[in-house]
Amino acid sequence: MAYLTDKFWRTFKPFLILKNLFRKPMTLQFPYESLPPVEGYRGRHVLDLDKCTGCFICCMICPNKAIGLVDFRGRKYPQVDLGKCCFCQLCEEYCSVKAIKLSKEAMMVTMDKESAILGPEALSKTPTQ
Amino acid sequence: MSIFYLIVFPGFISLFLFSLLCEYIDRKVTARLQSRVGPPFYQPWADFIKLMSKESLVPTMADRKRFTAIPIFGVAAVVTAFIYIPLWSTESPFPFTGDIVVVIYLLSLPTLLLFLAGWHSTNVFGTIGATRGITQLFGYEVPFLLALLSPALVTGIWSLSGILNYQVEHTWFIAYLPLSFIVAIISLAGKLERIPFDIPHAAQEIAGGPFTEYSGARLALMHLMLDMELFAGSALIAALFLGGFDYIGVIAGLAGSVVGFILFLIKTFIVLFILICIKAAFARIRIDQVINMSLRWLAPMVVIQLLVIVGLKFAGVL
Amino acid sequence: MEEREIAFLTIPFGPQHPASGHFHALLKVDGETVLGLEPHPGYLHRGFEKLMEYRVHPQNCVLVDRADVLDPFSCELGYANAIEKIAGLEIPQRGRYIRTIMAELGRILSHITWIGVLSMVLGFDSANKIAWGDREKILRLNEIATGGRLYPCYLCIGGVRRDISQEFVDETSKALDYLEGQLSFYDYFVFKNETFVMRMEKVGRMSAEEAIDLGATGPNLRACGIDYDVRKDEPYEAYPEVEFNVITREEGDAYARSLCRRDEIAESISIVRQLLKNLPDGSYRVELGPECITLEGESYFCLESARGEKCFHVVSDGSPCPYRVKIRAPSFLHTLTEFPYLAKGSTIADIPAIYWSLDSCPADMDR
Repeated sequence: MAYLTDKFWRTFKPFLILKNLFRKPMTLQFPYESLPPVEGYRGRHVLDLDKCTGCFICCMICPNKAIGLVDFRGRKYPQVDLGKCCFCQLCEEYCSVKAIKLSKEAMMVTMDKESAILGPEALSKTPTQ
Repeated sequence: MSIFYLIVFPGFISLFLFSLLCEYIDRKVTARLQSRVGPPFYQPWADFIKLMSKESLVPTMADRKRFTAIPIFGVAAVVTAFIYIPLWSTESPFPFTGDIVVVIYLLSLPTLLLFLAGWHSTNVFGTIGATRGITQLFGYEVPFLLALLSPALVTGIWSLSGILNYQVEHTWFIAYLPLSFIVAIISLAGKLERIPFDIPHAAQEIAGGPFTEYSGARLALMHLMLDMELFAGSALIAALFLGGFDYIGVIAGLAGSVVGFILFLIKTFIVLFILICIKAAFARIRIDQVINMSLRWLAPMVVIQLLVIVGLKFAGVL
Repeated sequence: MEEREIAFLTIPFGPQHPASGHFHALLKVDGETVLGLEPHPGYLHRGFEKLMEYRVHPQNCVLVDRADVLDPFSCELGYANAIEKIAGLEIPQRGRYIRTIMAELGRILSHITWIGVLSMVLGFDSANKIAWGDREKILRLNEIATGGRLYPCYLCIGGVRRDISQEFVDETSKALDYLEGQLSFYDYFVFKNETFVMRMEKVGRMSAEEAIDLGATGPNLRACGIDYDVRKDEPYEAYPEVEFNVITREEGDAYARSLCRRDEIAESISIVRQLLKNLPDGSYRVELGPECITLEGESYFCLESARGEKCFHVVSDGSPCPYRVKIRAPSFLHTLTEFPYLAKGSTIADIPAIYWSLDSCPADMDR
């Protein structure tokens, strides 16, 4: 008898999902609504051109060798290949003068692989978020 | 005039539009039950046009003519079944005695065609899906037939127009045949291969079943056949149990027919809503459990219902 | 008795398949009965352990969470603890508490993902979509604490890389309340759903001796009645300071494994609540300093990940990069020994149910 009542509830209680019809769906329809990014999100790199000394530590510590050094304004500055970067923040942690940081900017979409390599001038632009 | 009935209304074009509307309601309500947003109203149209525009491949070892003929036969069978269902009055455009049996037979053709489609695909997934489809047919076909023919047993008239006449004069059959109604809906879910009975084309175990090798226009017609079967099956149950176009009160003339037709659509969507709730609440069950369940619960329920009816008729109540 | 030749079909349970994750197997089938299963691992093999020999320890710490994509905190915890054992470092108490909180949140995330994928594979569309929505709560917590949703890069040698804020503590309490409500929903919608019970009961049954022979760990072993949990038997991190139960069941079939995991979610929620209440102040990280380039030694560290017992064997010979790293992945044995054993004699429809009730992650199996 207990078996039959058990079976009865197991067959009919799942229909309680009908109450989802009266609730707001949990989807956020992306370009029109989105959650704000949190503080401390690991997004695009930002370089402070005045502080950077060209000491090469960020290039050495990067696990995927995504940072290289290029000539710019007569000195060596880092250039980041966003395609290889895994956004681990080790470059920010090991930078001796705190020149390179990760910002909250997360929308880094491009159709062209070349434009994913950000040189020092692109890196020094303020992030959009 | 009969050409108009065959092609425009209630024939091919209007069935096409209604079945796309049916698919939209199915997907939207299922999505809301799962707390998602669901597709916009033009999504089934967009899917159909996209599939028609893609290349349609036929496997090397398969017979090209049969491969192409199967979806076309399927759509033809379901359209032919639909024009015999009365939509706005007691008579369909081409009524005759025994048309209820013809409709039920034509609605079981798509399952046999899915079997042939899987077999002719010469693909191991297609073979397994095809055999599962036919095995499932053994389970639900007998309860489906008995449940749908029980109104005919009550009235003693074997035509849809006679059954609808009886419902207009007395009450709707759902009042005296509730068990048949439930069995008819569950068996319809089995026939249409919806969750919890979608074992034949279980995408997660055998990638696609009978549909694996179909692509492009042929796949578009297969999906169209399934959507049309959904609408035609729900319409048949609405006509047999919920009174079809019947409503309380009388409005004369053309306005009366239009109101009746709109109420018929609403009743079909009520049956569809019950099918959607069943789909959203359950998982897929194994093929041996499907047969087990049909022979253990569905068939006895409908037989008990028929015995009650026969008893009442014998006692002179009905 | 004459010999009967059975003609069988070979079905690929292939890597490009909604049900198998990224795992290739060949099924030998007669009608609907499975006669044998031949696993072909290696689709996701990336050469992890070899690649770790070319990178310094801090670099390895941020890359190792890709070794088990569904439970990344356990990988980071294991590697960091193995190196700390070699270096003889003592982590401050706040660091240990934060690490345990994140590890338990990772366990809850893995189990909810498991509910979603198991439902998808059983054809239970609704539970799949709802579970995927519940994951978002924990991914948001990951984002607040660590800056990334799936790959946290958070637990490092010496502690954790940044402190947790008051916002994280508040959001975690809210998320845990929500998840407890969802657990009671999953109870009647998934675990006591008639079709789910029909698919999972008496399927893929293992006895206790068979489970030990086949090398099962984690919920697979505990569902057969054996009480073995690394968190209780060889405690690490902050586990000695919390109270929790080890969930065991007697039957050993797929349904018992599912109920084990469901109860583990409830236990993890209670562990995180206890830790948040008693969170000590202080520093959260101890700096390793230049001796991390000249570490010499060998260590073996075991921990309880969401899948089972995961162990890290690290050998370091005095150079900056480790000499050898070996990860004992629990999914390796689940897929290669238990799955073929349980699959023999079942039907095709049971194969995805058995595979996902063992909860194996293909990325973890192949590394």
